[in-house]
Amino acid sequence: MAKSTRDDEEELIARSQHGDVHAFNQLVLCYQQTTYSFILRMLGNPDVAADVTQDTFIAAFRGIASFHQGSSFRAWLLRIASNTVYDYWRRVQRRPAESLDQLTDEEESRGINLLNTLAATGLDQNPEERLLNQELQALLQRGLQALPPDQRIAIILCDIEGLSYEEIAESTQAALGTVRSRIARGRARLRAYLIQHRELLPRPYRLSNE
Amino acid sequence: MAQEQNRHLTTEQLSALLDKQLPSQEQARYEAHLRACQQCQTLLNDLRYAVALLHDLPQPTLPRSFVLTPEMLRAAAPVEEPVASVPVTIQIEERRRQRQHGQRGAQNQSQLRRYILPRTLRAMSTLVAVLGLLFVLSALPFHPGGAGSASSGSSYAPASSTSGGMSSSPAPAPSPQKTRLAPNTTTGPGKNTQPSQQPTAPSSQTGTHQPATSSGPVFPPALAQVFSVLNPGGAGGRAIDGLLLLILALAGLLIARRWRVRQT
Repeated sequence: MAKSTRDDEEELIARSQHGDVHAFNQLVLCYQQTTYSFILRMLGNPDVAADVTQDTFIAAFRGIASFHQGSSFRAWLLRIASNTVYDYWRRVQRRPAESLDQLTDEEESRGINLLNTLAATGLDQNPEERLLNQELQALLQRGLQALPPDQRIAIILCDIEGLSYEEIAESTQAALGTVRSRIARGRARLRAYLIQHRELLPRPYRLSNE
Repeated sequence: MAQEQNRHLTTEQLSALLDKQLPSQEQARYEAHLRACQQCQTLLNDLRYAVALLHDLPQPTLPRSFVLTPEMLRAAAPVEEPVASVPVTIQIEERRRQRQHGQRGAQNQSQLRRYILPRTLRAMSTLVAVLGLLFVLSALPFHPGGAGSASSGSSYAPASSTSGGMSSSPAPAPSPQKTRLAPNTTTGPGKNTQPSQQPTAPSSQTGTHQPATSSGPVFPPALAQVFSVLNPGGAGGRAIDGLLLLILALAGLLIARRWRVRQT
């Protein structure tokens, strides 16, 4: 982030801490895409995600006095977002699905090659032009939702939202080593999920030597 | 060293390698192993591929703006703890329900509850208070006559005619005593002597009940006629009615104030 932008952000945060809703709304405009995207990937339902996002911003405004200048506002905001998601689960009393227990993280799937499974028609050759079709998007979303919550949060923050390990540690209030392990296990499980459901993969991405 | 190179890398090591999260020395060692180990290379490529797929997920389009409005902040109760947000999320289901009925309608309803109802109640109570005061005042200059009999007819009309919902309780009948505050009133039914009080009601001493026609200076004739219909009992009844109305108005004002306090 550019220096001036960062200064602007700090000023907006300081004003928000004095109860200035307009200043806070500037921050909302900056971060609503990231926040909504994170929550949608966590929950999978756009309607619920919108409500949880709104509640996240309300809670963030209420609690902004607890934010310490100098740390990452994005990490802080996403922490409130994941807390709000947990609150939602608690409220509807639905535990996030964990359907991968029969698969260990790596050993059982070591023999199968995801890359060969997926990389049929130039998908890996033109990464810029690669446009995931709806089916593959849906499969990935289901794969995310099959992860335990802590791994899901880590994966979404790292591989979708692009946060650094340090920011994720700040956001999840976990040690750096824990973050590293969650990301690794989440990725391995996701890989296992995709291999397990390779018959659901869109035709172009199917393994040729199946 | 050679033995270490032969050991397969763990997912965690590969994943960290992918994100360049390793000290350079460690990284060099792992890369050396990878060059020699097809199996670990395959796993690393798979992980890289899974990450690339996640990375390529398109950003979802925002369904709306999440800018905060004063209503949102007012609607949710203040939260003491900075991060936990239990009271906030409780509203999720409710808000979804509201959205099904239309957001606009829900907003109007809350506005109705917050602003319009208390104000209406306050205005009506004020009106009732003025009416009650007029009743009491109108009772003052006259000979009360049948104070006892008036109370029977006093409890019905005014309350129901002004503010539908509340029913008036039977009067405790303190009104004949109250009227003595006026300098020119006569309290006793029979033993009143009025030396100087001539212009307003000289004929009231005769004992006949004619409140409607003689209330000239205070009310327009039409209003006086209405009162006469409401109070066949006469001036004493009017005073009781007036007090009842005043009590009613006071209750209304108190309720309106309590509503406002609770809403803000």
